Amino acid sequence: MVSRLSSDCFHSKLTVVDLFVTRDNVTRWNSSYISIRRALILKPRLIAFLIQYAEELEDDLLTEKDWQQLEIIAEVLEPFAEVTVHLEGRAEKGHHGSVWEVLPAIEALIEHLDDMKLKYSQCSHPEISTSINLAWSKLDEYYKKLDDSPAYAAALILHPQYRLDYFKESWKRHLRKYLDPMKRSVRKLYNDSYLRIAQAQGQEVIPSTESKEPDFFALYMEKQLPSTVVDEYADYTEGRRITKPNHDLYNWWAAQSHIPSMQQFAYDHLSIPAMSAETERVFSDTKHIISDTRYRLGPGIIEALECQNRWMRADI
Amino acid sequence: MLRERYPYDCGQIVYPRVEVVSTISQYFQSVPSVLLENCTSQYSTQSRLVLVQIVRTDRVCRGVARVSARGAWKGANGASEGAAAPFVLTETCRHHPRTVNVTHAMSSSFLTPSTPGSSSTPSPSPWPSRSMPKTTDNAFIGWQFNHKEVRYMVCKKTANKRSNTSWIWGEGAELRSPGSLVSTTPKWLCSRCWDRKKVAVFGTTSTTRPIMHLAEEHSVNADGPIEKAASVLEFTPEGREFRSLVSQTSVNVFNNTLIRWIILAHLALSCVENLEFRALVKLLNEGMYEYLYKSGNTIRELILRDFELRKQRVIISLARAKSMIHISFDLWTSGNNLAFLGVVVHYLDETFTARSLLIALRQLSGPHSGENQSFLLVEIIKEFGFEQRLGYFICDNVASNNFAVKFTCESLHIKNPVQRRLRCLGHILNLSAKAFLFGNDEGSFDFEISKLAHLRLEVRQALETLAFWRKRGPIGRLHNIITWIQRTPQRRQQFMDVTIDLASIRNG
Repeated sequence: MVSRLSSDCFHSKLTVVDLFVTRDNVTRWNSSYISIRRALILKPRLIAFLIQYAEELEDDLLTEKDWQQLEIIAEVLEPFAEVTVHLEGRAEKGHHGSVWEVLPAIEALIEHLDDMKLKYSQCSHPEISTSINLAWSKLDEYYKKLDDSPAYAAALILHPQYRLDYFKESWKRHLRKYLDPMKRSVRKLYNDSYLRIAQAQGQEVIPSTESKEPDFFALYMEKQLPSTVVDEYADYTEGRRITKPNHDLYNWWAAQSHIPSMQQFAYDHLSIPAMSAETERVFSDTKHIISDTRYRLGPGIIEALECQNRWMRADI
Repeated sequence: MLRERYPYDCGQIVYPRVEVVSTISQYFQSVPSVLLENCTSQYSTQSRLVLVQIVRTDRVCRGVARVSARGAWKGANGASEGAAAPFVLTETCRHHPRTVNVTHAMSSSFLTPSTPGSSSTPSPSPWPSRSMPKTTDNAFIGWQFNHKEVRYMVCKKTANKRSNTSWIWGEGAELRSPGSLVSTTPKWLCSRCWDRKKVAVFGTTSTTRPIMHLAEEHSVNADGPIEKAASVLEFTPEGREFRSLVSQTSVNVFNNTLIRWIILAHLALSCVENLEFRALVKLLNEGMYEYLYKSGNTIRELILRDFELRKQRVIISLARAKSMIHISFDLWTSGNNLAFLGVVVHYLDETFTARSLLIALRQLSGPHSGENQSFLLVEIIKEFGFEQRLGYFICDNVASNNFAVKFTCESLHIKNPVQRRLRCLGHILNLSAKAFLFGNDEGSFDFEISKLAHLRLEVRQALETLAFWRKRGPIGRLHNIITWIQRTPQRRQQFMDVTIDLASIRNG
């Protein structure tokens, strides 16, 4: 029997999907980095293209030195893009988009820019060095503004894996002077809003068995170790941090019922997201509702459609 | 059922539909007329001819009105043999040739016949001795009465200077207050209600209310008696042979699933009117097909209603949250130029999962200032009931957001608004990256040299070099190249077709 399967069937022409250049635009985050990255991947094709069309592009040709500079620019910008992607999620389990990750992210990028400044100094790459300085000062400007709110530090302290140890470690050099003010502001935040929960609990008197006379043994034990109100804040912050990463932050806190005021403190501050990317996602989705043929939709029905869309997906 | 005689008595007011011809249009109108003579048809078995006299103030017109087999009156303006003179409604009035001035009231002068050979003037049917004269009475015009503590007088219809007279004046009388006959807008008194001894008065700044009254109470519109409205789609009756019992719960499930699909797939709401879709549903479930909504407007109402219901569920979920409710908001302008404020809340729900949920996408009217945004924010927060449990605000670094947070906190009596204002990390990183690439926040290459005038010379030179490097350095040139390549499909194709010769690259 002759097999109908000949090798011709298997050697059909396979077409490879080619990559194309992407252009940056003003509104999309990290678009310039993505554009440069794609151009570097397509470098051979671009070079060949530029050779062919040299007359039409005239002033805009790229030399080898230019390509090297583009490599450096991509190296500087890469962590920005990575951090953005890492933290733009919804943080359902308490990571990848939660507010406690903000301070470490910015500090990591500042450190990265410091390294880049050393590597590409003023004499060898003057323009890049100046640009790095500008980026650094902009980042530093907003980093200082974060000081206005103790929420960022509080959230990081409330992460059982980091507590105060993160600050003690990463702020021990040039930021040491900010350590105590930060601790005080977080403590104040706790005292203002959460201490009363601890006090309310402390005042709960465990009803003693009224029927019996006070037990001789119980009285002796009470004399030795009187039950005092625990400073829950100190109890937590001075406790040992957990070393193995726990991937469900909120469930860990749900188990800490012996420190209810810290529990509430943690629920309130660890549920804050790092970015307002969700609103951007909503707007992007709403664009699809208002298509060319549905241009006359009014605001009332647009709100109903988009909200319903989101609520149905969230199973509400 | 054919009638031998039109079942009204001579002298009674009837309302045949007659054709009115004007410069702009022709239409049928119910015109009060006095039935003069009842006669049998000489033309066909389908209709009867009766003789009527149109009741008008300054002109008398006689004609023939035709009653059809189903009893509806139709006006005829064709000639009729024998009988009375044709129904001529094209007598001219002062301003518009071929326009009919139709009025409602009757005065003694025009009951006298204008053409000879007509039948005798009927006497108005005896009215039970009551205070309200009938619309056909002589005493009707000029009659004064009190209604809701206002004195009204019935007047002749004032002529219109420019526009045509509305058809409502054929169905009702003009009322004015005796003290101010000229200055005010007249009111309209429904003739039919009046003849039934009821008083129905409406203002006439627009004719909507009288028209609605006539449609609802008397089932009359400009073309005469209203027929039952036809359905939106014409359905052939043959599908009705198959009948199955469909339970209410399965219909509800069907409708909910349909709505869910329409919303999640971004379908047009009028998709239920699409014939191919209907054919598909009919094929799958003939019984359920009967219950498929026929109009996109119904779907719209259902969606709005479901929205309100689900909103209550969201409010309950928020009430059961374990954490404070944090809020982020931003402004956006849609493709159809509406400004929206999008509000998303973040909280820890009762199952200890972090949620980010859209709660409102409302149109912001007025300026885009922080204060204006705060009004809308406070309204939304109170609507969803978490003003006591509001946590932090996360928004981008635009200055108006600072004010929005500040004013919102003031309205809700929250101390320390600065502490509550958190900044979107992505936006901060973006600003920093832009500062690296472009030196400014706009992300463009425009660098205003004039702003550097106050700096020292070396610094200025350094910054100018930098500006030049940005625009004409590798980043700027790469941007230009890519823009050039992407501009036309031909160039895109040329880029993809370029043969990569590695040898030539190394050499050249």
